[in-house]
Amino acid sequence: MSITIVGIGFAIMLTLMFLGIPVAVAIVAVGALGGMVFYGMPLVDMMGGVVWTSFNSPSILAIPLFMLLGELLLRGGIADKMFDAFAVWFDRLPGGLLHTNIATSALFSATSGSSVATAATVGTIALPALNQRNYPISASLGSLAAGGTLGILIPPSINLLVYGSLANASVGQLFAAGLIPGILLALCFSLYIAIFQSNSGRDVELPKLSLRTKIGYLKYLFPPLLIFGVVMGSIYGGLATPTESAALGVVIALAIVGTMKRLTWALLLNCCMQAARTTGMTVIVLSCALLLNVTISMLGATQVVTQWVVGFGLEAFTLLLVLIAFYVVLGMFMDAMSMLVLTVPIAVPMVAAVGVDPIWFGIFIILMCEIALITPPVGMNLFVVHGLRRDGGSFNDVVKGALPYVGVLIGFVILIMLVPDIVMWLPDRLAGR
Amino acid sequence: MKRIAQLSGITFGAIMIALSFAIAAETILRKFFSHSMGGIDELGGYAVAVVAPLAFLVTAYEQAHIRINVLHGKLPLRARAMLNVAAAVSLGLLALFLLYFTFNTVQDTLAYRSIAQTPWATPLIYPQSVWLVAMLAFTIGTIAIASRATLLAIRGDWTTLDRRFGPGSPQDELEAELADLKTRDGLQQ
Amino acid sequence: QSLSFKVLGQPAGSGLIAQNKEQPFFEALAANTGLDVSVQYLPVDVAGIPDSDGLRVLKSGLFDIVSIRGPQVSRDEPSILGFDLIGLNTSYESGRAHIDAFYDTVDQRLQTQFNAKLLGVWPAGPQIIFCKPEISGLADLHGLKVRVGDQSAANFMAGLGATGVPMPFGEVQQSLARGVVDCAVTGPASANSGGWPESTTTVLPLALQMAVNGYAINLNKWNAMSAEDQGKLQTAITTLTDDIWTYSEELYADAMRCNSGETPCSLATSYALKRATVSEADAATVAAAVSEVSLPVWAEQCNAVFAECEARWRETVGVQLGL
Ligand code: NA
Ligand code: NA
Repeated sequence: MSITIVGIGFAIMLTLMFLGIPVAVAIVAVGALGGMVFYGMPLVDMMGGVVWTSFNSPSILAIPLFMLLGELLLRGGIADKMFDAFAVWFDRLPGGLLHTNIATSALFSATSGSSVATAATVGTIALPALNQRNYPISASLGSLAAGGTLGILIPPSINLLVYGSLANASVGQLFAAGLIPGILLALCFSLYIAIFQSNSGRDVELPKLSLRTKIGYLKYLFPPLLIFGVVMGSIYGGLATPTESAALGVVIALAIVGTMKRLTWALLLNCCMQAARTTGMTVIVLSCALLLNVTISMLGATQVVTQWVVGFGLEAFTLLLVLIAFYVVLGMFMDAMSMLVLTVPIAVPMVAAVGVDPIWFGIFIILMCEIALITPPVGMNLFVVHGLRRDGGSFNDVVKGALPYVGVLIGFVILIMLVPDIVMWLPDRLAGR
Repeated sequence: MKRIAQLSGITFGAIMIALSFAIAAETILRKFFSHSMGGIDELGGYAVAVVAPLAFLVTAYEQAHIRINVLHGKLPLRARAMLNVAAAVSLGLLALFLLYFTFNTVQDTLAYRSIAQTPWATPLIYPQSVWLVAMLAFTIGTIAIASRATLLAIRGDWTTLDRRFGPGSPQDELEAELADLKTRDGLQQ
Repeated sequence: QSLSFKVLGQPAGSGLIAQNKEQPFFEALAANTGLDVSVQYLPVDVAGIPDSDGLRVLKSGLFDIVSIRGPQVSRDEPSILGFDLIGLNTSYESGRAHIDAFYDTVDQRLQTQFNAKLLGVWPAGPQIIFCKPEISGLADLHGLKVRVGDQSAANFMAGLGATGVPMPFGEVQQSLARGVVDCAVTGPASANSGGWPESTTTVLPLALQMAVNGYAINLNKWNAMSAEDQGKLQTAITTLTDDIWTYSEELYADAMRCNSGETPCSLATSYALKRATVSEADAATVAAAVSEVSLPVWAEQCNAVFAECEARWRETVGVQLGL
């Protein structure tokens, strides 16, 4: 087993993917067929057990539950008024509504596990208002695409669930680890806006609202905060495990949507179909990655790559810098979830060898996924936000608007490398350390 | 096909919602009444095994399995269409492969009369049979999709192949989202 | 000609026995056996294979030697649980006697059912109770939520009026800290490496089980070896398992001292857990669990797949207990 064979396998997989073959198929084609070449049918015989056991795990169960929760909140209309509520408070800051975009994204992230859903929802609500008030299009689209990426960092997060199952890390710890970086990153985005976009939206006369009206708007923040409170509070208040908290969230969301008199069969059917669709997308790639994992480790590929990398004698800090470069490039071309499942099985043992904590590394990888979501040519959040435009402008606008946030994200990654406690403080507290 | 996909989606949702209520009840009982119905987590595991293949089917029906279209999108129509056929057929083959080893696993479970090491001591053949049926549904669904794509290719209908079997474009999704938002606005009035 | 073995080991994070005894032994198998052999050793979690599939993987020939995890693989072969019923092995000494007595029965089952031969059996160590509320004995568990590893432990807890809660090992520490569960059962060394003493106050060192594991080899591989080579391998593995029996006991004593902040503490982190004294009544309750709870439930299950199961157990282990 040499680094060349590992490289060839990886190259074949990428080629299949770039030709538009489903990512899951490309992974299994290389993983299973490659494994069969070396180990024959016994390898295939054991795959059923791997799939059965992975389906039987609580962290996989959390995926469909959080997907369903997100759909209920979105389609039940719980998030729609959040933007207005933030807008009346933030529109006078330097950068105005752009802060509202970030704040709405951050709060929506606290109820949804997906970045694409966050960008789509907040973008749909925000763009008409931004256009009406003459905000520069590039800055508007960029803040929506970047704000949306918070969806997978602020818990709950599907990507953290997937990371947890691949790296065998505690989901409760991972969710705790994402919270403070999520809030700080949202503040960093806002800081960037305050400094570099401070003139946006200045040329529109704003209606003067009484404090009473403004406070009245706060009621729209209550339902999402309630959901976040129930989901995260039940984990950290000792009521439930992360999976159980997702189920509690679904029940509460059904109750809220019911109270708002919106719980119809059509809505439920729509939520079920959408949740099934996104669950299918995620879980099939995850299952296939777990199968590839067996071949990779049986062939000793993990050790080969780890030894190859360790052979350079890099310190943890330098190795992480190299990984940032690697992920930024890979993330340009690859979907964030595919990138996650393909690299985690090899990257985690590699960084563990130089003493990096797997919980901390989970947040590092999530930040890399966030970058992947807003770098061209393949950046899901860019596609989503661009698709929301009604003026038929160029794709370059959203790319240009989002690019500075890639810089903010890279700066933020280096910050958590220098001060790992930003990530580890909360999970350590919750573990009673 | 639409019926089968919808039925899968409804089954998926019904199982997940029922499970959510069961888990919520279990959690509350455990915390405030120090009582456990027991086995809910076990049931949850089996539920995933059953709903996952159904979810795969819904995803396949909506052409939403993750595909990377950085190169694909730049090819000429006919090449794009042919790659779409390859994608549909390969997904069918993947389903067959999953079905094959699922069948082997269930056969072993039957042979050893395996019993879950849980408070319920469930004979694994019960949940695994349902798992096998769900896998079978996924396989039949994807093979139906692959056959349709192949037929279109034989007829040389490249335009339909490109339009209906391409990587789910974000544009379509957004149209749907916008329509959905309009409905919600309507409800608010 | 030279031999080659693919060995599926205990999970990488499962503790010092795997790290200091099992892995070094297999990686130096040629030197330890005097055989001309090459070995690929892979921890089960690194391989990405579920540990409950150990026997299936052994039969399929994907691995030649598997370090089988008793509680997990008993899913496919319930006779293995006969080694370690709740309340059966309350000390290392009695554990060894019971396991030796039932060894041939399990070996026979593995040969007929899984085309595999049992080479040796060893204990991870006594599984004891860690609690966040202070407890002084089993009676205090009434009304508490206890994380358990398997079915018979859950049954036993139900008998005490406690609620058995199954939960992945990785979530236990935080669940104890946040009060999702009040108590949890595991070995003192695992508890130490998982940081449980940070979120619990008391340990009740009452051995419910020994967590029995073992080594088995695919029969095709075994039969292809010469009698001489078979002898060398069997001798080496027996030496290994004997060594682990001793080491397991040392580890247990050391981890117990570490958890309670006593010295010498050489292998684990030092904490300040209170060690509850085991009353004679509690010891008797656990010992009585064999005939009252664990044997009847297990026998029914095991007899269903292997008619002579209970009879064999009674004539080997049962006689020792006077059952
Ligand atoms: Na989130
Ligand atoms: Na990208």
